[in-house]
Amino acid sequence: MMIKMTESAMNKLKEMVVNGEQTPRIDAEIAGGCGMTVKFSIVFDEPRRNDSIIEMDGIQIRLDRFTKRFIDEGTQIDYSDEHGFLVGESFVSSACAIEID
Amino acid sequence: MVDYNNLIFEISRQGRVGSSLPASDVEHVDINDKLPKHLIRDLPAELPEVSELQLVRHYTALSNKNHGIDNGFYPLGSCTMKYNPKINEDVARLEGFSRIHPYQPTETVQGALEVLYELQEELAAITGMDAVTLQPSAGAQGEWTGLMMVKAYHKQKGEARTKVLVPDSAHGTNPASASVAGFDTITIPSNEHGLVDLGELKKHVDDNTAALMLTNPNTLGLFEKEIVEIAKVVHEAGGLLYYDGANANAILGKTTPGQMGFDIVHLNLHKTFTTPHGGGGPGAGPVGVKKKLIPFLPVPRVEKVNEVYVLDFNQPLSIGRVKGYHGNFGILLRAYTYIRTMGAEGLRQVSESAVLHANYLRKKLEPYFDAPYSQICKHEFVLSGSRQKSLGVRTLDMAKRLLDFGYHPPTIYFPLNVEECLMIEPTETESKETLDAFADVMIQIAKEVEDNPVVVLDAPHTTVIGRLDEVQAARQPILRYTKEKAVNRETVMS
Repeated sequence: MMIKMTESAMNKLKEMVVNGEQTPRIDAEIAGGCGMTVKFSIVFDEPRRNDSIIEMDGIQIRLDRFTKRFIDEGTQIDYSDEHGFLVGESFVSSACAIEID
Repeated sequence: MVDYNNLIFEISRQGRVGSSLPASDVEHVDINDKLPKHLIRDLPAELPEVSELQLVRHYTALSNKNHGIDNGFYPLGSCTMKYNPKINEDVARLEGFSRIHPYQPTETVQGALEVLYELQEELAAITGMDAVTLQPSAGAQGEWTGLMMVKAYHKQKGEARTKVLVPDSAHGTNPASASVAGFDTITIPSNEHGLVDLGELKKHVDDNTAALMLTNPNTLGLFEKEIVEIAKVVHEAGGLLYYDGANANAILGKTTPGQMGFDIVHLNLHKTFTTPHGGGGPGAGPVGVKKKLIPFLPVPRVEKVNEVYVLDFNQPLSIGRVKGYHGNFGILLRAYTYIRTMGAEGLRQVSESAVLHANYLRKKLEPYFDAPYSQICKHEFVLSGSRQKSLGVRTLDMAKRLLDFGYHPPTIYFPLNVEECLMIEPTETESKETLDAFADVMIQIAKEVEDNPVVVLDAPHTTVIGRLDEVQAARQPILRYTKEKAVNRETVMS
């Protein structure tokens, strides 16, 4: 599986990996209630069982089985000092939240 | 058997009919002679053409794929999925109720108006309010109705307050309703015990505070012990207290929102008072108010004057009508039947059993999941799947696994202030055996996460349709039937 990574995101990840002990992960944060919203972020934490690993330019990025379902070659990781890491787009599920053209 | 899994459009055959009518004895006319050309379709509508038996089998098969409280356990937190007694249905079908019309003169529907009046009185007693409107068609509309009365109340006093405060554990409808009613919402963080942080509340309450919206017990299933102090803080600033009755199943006959200091209450009759949740409606969200807000209630109000029931439209300060006719009468009738069959003592037992069941289940499950607020709860409780997340399995995966055992999953990922949240509300209508069986399955799933996580990650395995591709469903939703898409679907499935 491949994802897209901007140069600024790659540089920042390399800097953080060198300075820290934990590994980067694409993580899905889920909010529920009426409908379900999934947002993605980059976190640095411990490995989880059943993690998948994406290797890009020597950097290993982990993601768990749940998050992997939502990530594909269209996913992009970007970084800016103002917003931090931005992963793809927020993904919204359920009839309450789907936008209809 | 294949037919039963197809759309009704796919079993359609041109010219097949489900009815047999005698030949028409009126003159045939050509529609082209009667209607303007722009109103006539170029092609016939693609309506399904099926026999009566095909129709019956199709919808029976669909209903068998559904899950409702009549099928099995449904511990959906904050939704109070309790049994809907069938006597409610019997009463709703009585001809005296089912064959009347809201346009009939009031003197011909005195019995129906009596039911509405009596239900208003019963709900006022249950909530500790002074008057009730039955018009709102569900909880969120009840919230909006209440907030419009809040606005009218302040306006009458010459004030234009703009802020509505909600705790961070509130139902999402609270800030949504406040926004639709034209207020700005301010979120009050909970403290480490999951309750309203009184210090934070005091920081935000001022002379621009229109109301505080609160659910008590809150969505964590915890009773706001400082409610009297909370009410005092809001009232001293001139604000009002709004009670979201979503969790009223925990307090029937034990206390009332009126005693707690609330000024406005909505109840969800489909939760606490056993009217059906099914199919998205109809629902009913009556709103009760304290005396000072009675002038603003929607019209018409059902009143009793000299032993005669009348519709009172003459309320100049009313916010007006919020629903056609008198609300969803058939639903109101079911709730009235429930209240009268249970009686005051029965309703008190409802809440005691609902709280007992929640705590029984909580104690059985807490060793196997993280419990961020491990204490005596009311009618529901929350667990966290954080422990399982560290093993690579998410709460959503465990919810899907529950489907394999015929259970509807609990509410998940809500409230938002609990990571990987599972919110469980067993209700009072379940047996100990059902609670034990559910607990056994939850414990089995927790063990599977440790020993055989793939069976959880790939769940469900036994349902008609397996794990959905939610990414594709969101990115490329198929929301309208076309023959072309149906053909493509068949190709993919084969």
